[in-house]
Amino acid sequence: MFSAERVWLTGRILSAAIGGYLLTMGICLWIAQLSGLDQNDARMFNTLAFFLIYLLLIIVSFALRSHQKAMALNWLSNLLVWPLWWLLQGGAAA
Amino acid sequence: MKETLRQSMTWLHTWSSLIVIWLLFAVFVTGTLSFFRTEITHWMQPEGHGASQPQQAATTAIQRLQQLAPDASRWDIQLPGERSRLTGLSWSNPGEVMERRRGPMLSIDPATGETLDLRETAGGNFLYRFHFELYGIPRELGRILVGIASMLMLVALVSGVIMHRKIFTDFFSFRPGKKTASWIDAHVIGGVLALPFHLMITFSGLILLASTLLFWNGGDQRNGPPPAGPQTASHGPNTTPERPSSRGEPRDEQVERGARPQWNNERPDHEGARSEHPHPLREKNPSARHTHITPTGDQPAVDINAMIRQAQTLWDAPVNAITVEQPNQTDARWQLSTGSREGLTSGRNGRQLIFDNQGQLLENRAEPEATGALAATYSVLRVLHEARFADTTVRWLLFVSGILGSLMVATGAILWVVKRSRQQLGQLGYELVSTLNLAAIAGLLIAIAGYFWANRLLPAVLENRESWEIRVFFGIWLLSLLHALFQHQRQGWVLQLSVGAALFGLIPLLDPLTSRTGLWFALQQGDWIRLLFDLVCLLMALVLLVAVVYLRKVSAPRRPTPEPANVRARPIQEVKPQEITP
Repeated sequence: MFSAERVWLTGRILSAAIGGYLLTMGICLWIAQLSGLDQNDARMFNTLAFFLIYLLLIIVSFALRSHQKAMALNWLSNLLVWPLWWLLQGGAAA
Repeated sequence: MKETLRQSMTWLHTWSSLIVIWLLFAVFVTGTLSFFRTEITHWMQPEGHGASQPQQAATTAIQRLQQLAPDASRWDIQLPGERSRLTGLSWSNPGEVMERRRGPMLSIDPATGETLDLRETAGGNFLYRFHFELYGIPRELGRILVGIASMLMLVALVSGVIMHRKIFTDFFSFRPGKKTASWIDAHVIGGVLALPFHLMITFSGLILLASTLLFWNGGDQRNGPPPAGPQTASHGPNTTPERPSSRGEPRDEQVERGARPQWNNERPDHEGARSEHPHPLREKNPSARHTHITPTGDQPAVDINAMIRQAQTLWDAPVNAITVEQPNQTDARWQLSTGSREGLTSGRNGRQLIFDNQGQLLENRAEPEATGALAATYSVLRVLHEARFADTTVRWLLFVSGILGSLMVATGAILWVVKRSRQQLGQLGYELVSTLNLAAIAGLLIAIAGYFWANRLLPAVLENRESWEIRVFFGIWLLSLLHALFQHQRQGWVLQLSVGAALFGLIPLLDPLTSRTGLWFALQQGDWIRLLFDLVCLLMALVLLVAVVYLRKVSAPRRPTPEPANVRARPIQEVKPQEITP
């Protein structure tokens, strides 16, 4: 019922769904910020790009053979994107 | 995980779709029917079946408005057209806030001007709303669920393409009578034949639900600036304060809700634009609301037919809507419009001509195209999904593609069961999926047919009639589920599909018996909307009947027997027909 494989698989699914969502959100915000789009265009860009990037991340998450690698890639990418985003926002405010 | 990319994608394809496949089927079927929701509503209001479509519909409408609301500050007329056979009237009295939901509205016979007492019905709008926000649960929750299902559908589509080594070769092969292989082939054909449509409709559906799914992206996407088209270009958030979103609804859906005139179900954009943007007539003539106005009294009425002729000559397109600002005043303004979007990136309201009270053309305007790649892409996706640009032919093509999508989803669900019938028969998961397949596929079809029957058999004057129709729909669906719990193997399918075939097949008989006019009259009047509805029901019955005959022919499933391990372990596309014991 709760074999290690199933636990890892569950973790991977959650990682792809939640971690992928957060990572996609971060990537979209990054791109919109760096590309200098105005507010309207940034929102439209996020809307259009989000589902494509999220799709890609999910496919990649399940294409990797190792559960651990897939999860690590996902969360490490989040760890990279979000602090940088926070710094960028803080820099902009300053 | 699996050893190869294709195996991983097969796993992803199977499970990403299976967990929401019943919801996806319901969304696909009701969404497909929504391409013709106005037409469905027409069928569901037999009181309007006798109406003809004369040339003088506009004159009749104005005469009627002169009787009903001579002192109104505004008249709105929706003329009969390709998708609607009635004339819709509404008006606003002086001092009233211009909102579509306010004010009296009624449908009249275009020829006689007689007010039609149309029955209350949920019509095609119920199916339309169900396909993106479900029913009986909080609207936002419904949208989130449909959004998640759509995302999983997109994952399943892309992984389904990746997992196929020879997708186009597979497309051209159909192996009837091979059980699993036949279901695989049917699934592939349904998927590949309309693959661009499936990708487009799923992705654009997600875009339309983005306001709910992307909560961090600046609130409602469509009540504000992003909804592409000219509004996007000219009224951004920095220039126009956003109207507060009511419950996060898209703008066109807000105006569709509530006490709307049935004739206007399919034209929300035109109406919806009013409350957000200043009306062009008032912009042109800002003093009209505040300075003196002179009743024309015995002045001759303007020749509306001449205006219409002029508009049609200029546009080479029919006039669908007429708005009169300050009717019966010297400073009246007459606006004729095509009333709907004409292209994938064009504005909501199509083209407009504005005349003064003497019939002199003041302005010929067309809303500008969406500017910029982002706005244009957004507009194209949204308009494609809603098919607002589509003429009848394109609408039928979209409908057929939607049917193929429904077929793909249904065969995918059945394939999962067929593939595992030998190994997992009797196991909880297998039995659960079998039960839900029957209730979701056959049950939904019966529920839709029952919905149409309820529309005609419930008393026309029944209070909350609209709700009763919906209760019948869900009641039948629930009965189907209860039946499937006890009998979800072949006999269950035979029974439910037979009921569905009977209900759909008898609709062409029910129609003339419960309408004030017969089918021959409809043929004489050229009421193709009604006739095609009956014909599609008949075709649906035939399809279900063929399925019943097929199911009666095939033998009952055998007792589970051990299968070679190599066949079990392989992904779907690798199971060769010769490896499957008939």
